[in-house]
Amino acid sequence: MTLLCLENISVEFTTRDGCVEPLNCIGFDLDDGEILGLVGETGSGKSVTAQAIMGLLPFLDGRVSQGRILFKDVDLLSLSESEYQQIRGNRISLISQNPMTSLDPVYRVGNQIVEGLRLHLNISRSDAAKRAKAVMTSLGIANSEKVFSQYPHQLSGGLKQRIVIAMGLCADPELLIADEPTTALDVTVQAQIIELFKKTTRDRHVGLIMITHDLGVIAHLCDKVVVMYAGTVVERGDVATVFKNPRHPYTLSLLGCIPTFGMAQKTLNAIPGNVPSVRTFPSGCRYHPRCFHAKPVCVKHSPETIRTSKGTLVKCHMFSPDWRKDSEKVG
Amino acid sequence: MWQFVIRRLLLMIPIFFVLSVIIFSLIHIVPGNPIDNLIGPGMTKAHEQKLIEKYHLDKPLPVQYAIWLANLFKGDLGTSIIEKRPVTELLRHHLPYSLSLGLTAIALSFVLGVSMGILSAAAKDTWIDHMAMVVALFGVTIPAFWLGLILILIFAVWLNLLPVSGSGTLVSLILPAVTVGLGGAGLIARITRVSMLEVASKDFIVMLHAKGLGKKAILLKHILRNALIPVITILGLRIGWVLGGTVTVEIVFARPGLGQMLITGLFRRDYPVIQGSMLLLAMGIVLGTFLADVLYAFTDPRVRDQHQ
Repeated sequence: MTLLCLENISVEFTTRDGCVEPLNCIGFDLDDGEILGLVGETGSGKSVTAQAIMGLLPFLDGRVSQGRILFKDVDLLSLSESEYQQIRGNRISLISQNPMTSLDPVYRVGNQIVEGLRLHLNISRSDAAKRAKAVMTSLGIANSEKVFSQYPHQLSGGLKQRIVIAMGLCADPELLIADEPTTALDVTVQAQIIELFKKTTRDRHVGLIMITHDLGVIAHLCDKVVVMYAGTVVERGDVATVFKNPRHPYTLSLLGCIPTFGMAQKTLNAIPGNVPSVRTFPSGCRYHPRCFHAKPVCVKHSPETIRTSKGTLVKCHMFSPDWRKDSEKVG
Repeated sequence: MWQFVIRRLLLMIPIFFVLSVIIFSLIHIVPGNPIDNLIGPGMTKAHEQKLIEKYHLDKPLPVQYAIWLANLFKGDLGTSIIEKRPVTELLRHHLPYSLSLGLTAIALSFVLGVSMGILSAAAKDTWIDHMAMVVALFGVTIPAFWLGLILILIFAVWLNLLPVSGSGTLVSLILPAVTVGLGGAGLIARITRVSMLEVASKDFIVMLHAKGLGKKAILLKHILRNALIPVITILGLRIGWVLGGTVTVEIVFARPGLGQMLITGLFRRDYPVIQGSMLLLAMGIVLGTFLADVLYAFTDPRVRDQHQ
């Protein structure tokens, strides 16, 4: 059954210098218990997508300007703030990008987990504490009794991340959104945390959206992948197919950027140019300034999303029937 | 935590000595002496010499200091040269007036200032915020003695609700406490507001929303507690200041507080009185800072750990 479905979501932020649109008509869906990887460079709109689903945009001076977000057939955008509060941290949980800054520094970490639990489940303080400690233990925190009554600054990054994950898992959500949960951690801890995600989501049959720019993580963990670029979804489909048959030039280049063992030294592949900033998104296809295949049509028109023969979806003019007619190249 | 408190207490001992030296030498550097105020017509040089010897004023300064300090440890701050009464007795008489005014004013500053700050931060950029901040600005900038006079005019003279001056009853404490407290309230309101807005922009606040917490709970439980940390520092400094810094208000409301005692002593160069009251006021500031440090560590676990 479909757990979450984003349809044509655009997001606007009001800033001091006017309006910006970090997300433009994106869409994807996710089934119960499925793991979806959201991948893209910094600034591609991954975190904004998470904030949109969580309904956090109003607190960040942003809003969803069009589209629908269906969670189990309920349109989240039609909910009032108090109805949304019933869902946040309860049925949908967010695990934040930076565990270092996502805990309140003046409260004990245990109490911060308990706070969330008691908000959504009708249980006593001591029961909530018991449950929190149990979840902490299941996340591989050895001395959960001690950690429970410590303050965030007394914990290592790995432990803090586990606390943040525990906070996300505690109330048994149906959907978990993990926004680059491992970027702040060192590599050995990263692997542990990823394993942890795999185990807990599979065991509890929780849907997971894993936001990352690590393609290795996606390949290892996810069922589906959504590739984002400059606020658009350029390609999506199941992980094996997309990784085996990448169609969008951006996906291709992204996969080409992974260094492999035995690769000729000195040649580390990089995509030329930078991700455009949200204020200077290019016209037409937003990838065209960096694309090797770009033609005039790419500059003028935004491409349609097209279904490929392998069943993946790709947003690129190259796969439209008109592509061959237009032979002139840009640059 | 206790270790931290004890260490901070011990640190007050050297501070006390340094203070006593500074206070003592400063007063004796100032030109003039109390004997000039005692000499009346018909007094001879011999009389004057006798008086000088009586108060040890002929001895070198270090010796005078040693005598004063030795007596201090016996609980004797000397005798007022002009009024001929023990300084400890004078302090006992004047301190309650300052203490009651100071503590009421501080409490008022805190409650009023923090509430105004919360209101302002919660309604940021609305007319409520602007109004509160204008009021706060007035509080900070209006000189207390002038505000005191205006309040007397309105509430005592025109409305006839409160006494013009005096110090016997609780009612008579209201106007001076409001006068002194408003300044502090303005300062605290502005600091609370800025501090709350800063905390509100932190990452963990978004995460609290993500947990499903309501706005009110986030504001009062999380933002406020974090934002109070700098407010406490200011409060601690104000405690000391309010005890001695209210002279003008004491004069306006005719309250015989420490400030009045000090000023009178200064005009007459009444050394023991000046030394005694200044030392008490200075220790008030030290104590206020100490209290702030303890409260600070109590509110912020990070500070607590730094001291272990």
